[in-house]
Amino acid sequence: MNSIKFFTNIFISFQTVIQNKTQQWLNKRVKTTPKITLDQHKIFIFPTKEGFLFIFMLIAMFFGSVNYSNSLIMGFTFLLSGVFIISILHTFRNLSGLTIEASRTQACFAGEKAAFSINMSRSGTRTYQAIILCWGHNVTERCDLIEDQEATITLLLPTYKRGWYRPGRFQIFTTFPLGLIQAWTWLDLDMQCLIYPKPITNNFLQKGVTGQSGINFSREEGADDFSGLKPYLPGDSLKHVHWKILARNDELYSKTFVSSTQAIYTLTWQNFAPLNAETRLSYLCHWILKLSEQDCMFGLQLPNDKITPNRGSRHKHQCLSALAQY
Amino acid sequence: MQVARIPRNSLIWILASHIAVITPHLSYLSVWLIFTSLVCVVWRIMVFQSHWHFPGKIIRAILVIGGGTAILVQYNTQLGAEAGVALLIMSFSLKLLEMKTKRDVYLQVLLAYFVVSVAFLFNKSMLESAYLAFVSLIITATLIALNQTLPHGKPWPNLKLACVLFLQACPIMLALFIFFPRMPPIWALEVSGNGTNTGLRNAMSPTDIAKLGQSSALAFRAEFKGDPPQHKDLYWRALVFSHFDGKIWSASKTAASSINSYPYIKQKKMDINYIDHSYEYKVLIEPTHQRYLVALDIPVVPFSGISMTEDFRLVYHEPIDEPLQYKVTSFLNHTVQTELSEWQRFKDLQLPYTENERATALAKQWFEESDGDAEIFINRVLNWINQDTFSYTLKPPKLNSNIVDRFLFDTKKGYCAHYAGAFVYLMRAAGIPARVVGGYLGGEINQIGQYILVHQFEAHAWAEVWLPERGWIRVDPTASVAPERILDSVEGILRQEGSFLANQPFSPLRFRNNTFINIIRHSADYINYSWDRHVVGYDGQYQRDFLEKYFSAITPERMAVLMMALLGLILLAVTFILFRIKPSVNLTEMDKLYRSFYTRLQKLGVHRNTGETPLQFQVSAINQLPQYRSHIEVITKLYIEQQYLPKNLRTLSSQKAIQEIKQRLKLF
Repeated sequence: MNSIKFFTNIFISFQTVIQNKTQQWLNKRVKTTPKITLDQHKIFIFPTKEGFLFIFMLIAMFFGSVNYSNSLIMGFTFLLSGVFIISILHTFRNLSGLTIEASRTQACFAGEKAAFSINMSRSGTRTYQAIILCWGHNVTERCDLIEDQEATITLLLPTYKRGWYRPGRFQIFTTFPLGLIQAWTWLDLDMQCLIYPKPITNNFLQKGVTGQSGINFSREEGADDFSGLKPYLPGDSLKHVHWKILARNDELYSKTFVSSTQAIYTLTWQNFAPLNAETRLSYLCHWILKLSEQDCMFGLQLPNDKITPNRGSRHKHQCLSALAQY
Repeated sequence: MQVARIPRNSLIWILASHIAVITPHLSYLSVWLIFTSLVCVVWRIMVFQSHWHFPGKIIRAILVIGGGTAILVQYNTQLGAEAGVALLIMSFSLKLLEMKTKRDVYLQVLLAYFVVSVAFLFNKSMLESAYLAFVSLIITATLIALNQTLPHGKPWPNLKLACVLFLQACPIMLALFIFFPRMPPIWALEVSGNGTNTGLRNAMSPTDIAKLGQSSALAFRAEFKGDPPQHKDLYWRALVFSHFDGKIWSASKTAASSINSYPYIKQKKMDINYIDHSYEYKVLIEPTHQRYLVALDIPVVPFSGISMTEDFRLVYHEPIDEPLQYKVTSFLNHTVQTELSEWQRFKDLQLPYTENERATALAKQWFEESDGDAEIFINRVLNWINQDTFSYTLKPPKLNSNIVDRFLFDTKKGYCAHYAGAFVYLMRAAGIPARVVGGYLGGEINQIGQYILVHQFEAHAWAEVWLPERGWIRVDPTASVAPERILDSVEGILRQEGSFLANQPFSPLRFRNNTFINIIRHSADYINYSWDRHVVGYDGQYQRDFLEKYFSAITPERMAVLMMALLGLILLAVTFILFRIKPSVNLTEMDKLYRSFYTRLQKLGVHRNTGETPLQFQVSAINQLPQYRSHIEVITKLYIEQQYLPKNLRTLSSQKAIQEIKQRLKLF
């Protein structure tokens, strides 16, 4: 038993050493950069499974032609060999010269899918077909650059943990035109994405477990009175959009309210005192979302950070980022 | 893992290639197999349109077992090439019914390529090869469609790309084809002949040559070094018939069995005296599925695998199932076998004793009257045939018994086989050793390639008689009755009769008198001939001869180096074509002028931002170079006008505008 374990360990460590070495070699060869144009230093090329099957078929045909002394079959075998060799060049061409650029990322909550947008562009008259981006086994996207000069591809990656998420290298490959040859490379566009904590619904605060700051959560009903309309500005809550006007005039207007007693909430770390840190963050996250939904003024106090009360989408994301990076 | 579905385009292409791939095999596939294949295609289309389902396991098992058994039964468990092809095509067809994923299509595509390659076993002409190349284009288009992302809609761009790939692969194919060292078969395989003999047969039944007379198929081609002999000397010997059973002349059993015992090396022992001029020529014979070769007498063969029989014919060591090319040297003037051995004499005097008494009596009487002088006797017989009411026709009345008697004294109508047969009968009856020779007479000279084409309808039969001290002498009794046949061709005689190629109303050979059609026919045949000789016939021997013409002392190593160098060059050239940078837009004259205008201004220090329009550029240019204001304004105005205004609103024609701008540019 022990010896098996010993050898498995050796094997695993051997594997990790090789993986690390390859990674180092790859890092040297294909540098981490937000924008990269593919060339022969960065592209790897090798026959696919089907390609090997094709070669096997060629060999079979060749022996057939020799044994039947049939020079036409031999010629046909040579023609297909030629097509195979030429397809190496075509497949390589279908990747080289392509410029790939990190476009943007969109933050999400842990457990959701983070969106990484990648921009691909071509120059000159060369067209690209059936380029496949692949991040792990499950995330693949396909793209063509035939009429367009550039295209943006969004990959949705599953997330598990809050904080900065760096998915590392992704594969970009193509087997066009014949599927017998694959050209590929591993790219790291230095992309990262902030993952917010997963919100967990709770009524921790409403139960009356209030902290020292003494937040008042009882909102005064009817306190907000409709006062008028103003043109919609990005960041205004969608709840306040006057939909009837939109339907009539195709223009966006926000309803404005006056609140007689403007409540200001402060969410503090200590509110959730007995809980562990991750749960606290998840609970806080829930409240940030809920308060923004109701368009309330709120602030956030973390042991290492403090955000003054405010409202709006920007403020919400500021608070969520603070949670994510705690 | 998710199953990669088959794109619509590639399904269309694979079904198209399925039908295209099977077509060249139709001629020898059995009907049920073709039917099964078509059913599979239709089934797959119905599945695609969601009308039907894929067959279940049980149905598939029944199909596979049933089809396999049917093939085994049909081909009698002889697993030759044809049974193999049938099996291949059956599995190829049935595979359609379980083609669900991309992987299945890949397999199907590889199978299709393989079926195409197998088709080359049976289809060797240039036209057929071109068709098969086209089929493989369709198959390649399937592969392309399989690797496309989007359903781009139109299938034609795929075919275009496939053409590009093939065109670029062609030089590689040529380099490999020419230089790749040919090796002898590791285990030699033969495509079994499918039994239908074309050409002459070992036995000459009366209808045989008449049937050939109706066939416009090619028998062989011969290319002479120097001038060919005259038409009347072109007696191509193929078979010798020594045995007569009263109805049919056939090769004697002893002669047939002696084929292998007289290899060509022993020619000296065969008592041949060659006299003066010899002819060197190459013959490319079409498949006959028999062993005989054709040659002018008397041939000498510098070629292994060919033997000479004791009656001076050439035979190949195996049946000719594929076009065969061989070199022969023939001596037209010769004496052979001045001595005849006892068994030979016996063989060449053999007659059935029961029938044809009148002919026997006549021969004996005439031979006595000519005092035993064979030559006088022969001339008398020939004169009789010439002067009596004998006529030449391919539609003689049918004879059932006493055929020599009835032909000579009653019907007096027949063709070469009748005359030769009757003549030899008379000779033998008089005691002169004689035999019937079957072969071809004459041929048609291809004006373009300067070689001789011999068709099946040029099949002919004549006689050979043996005279003491002179040996075997050729006598053609047909020459007495229809001398045109010898001097010209069978065509002229039969044209009058209306029986020339009567079964083939559209054969181009019927229109030989039309010069234009003749030129086309000759060119087409020349191309086919070249194809057969230089491509189909490109074997190890040909390769050595061919390469030694251009490179001294060719060794396999040198060939390999040469081939690799050539391949490298080709790849470089293709790479250059593929990766050269083309300008993204084609500039007009006007664009070029404007471009030179702004490079000039740039030299003078005006900077142009990207995305700046000509008008914006004009403003910044005038700011910096106020002294050129008028020029800048005019050039910009003209440029904008020419680019964007419709023709009727322009102040100047494009010619004049260009001149104007050119003149103003000189002032900067």
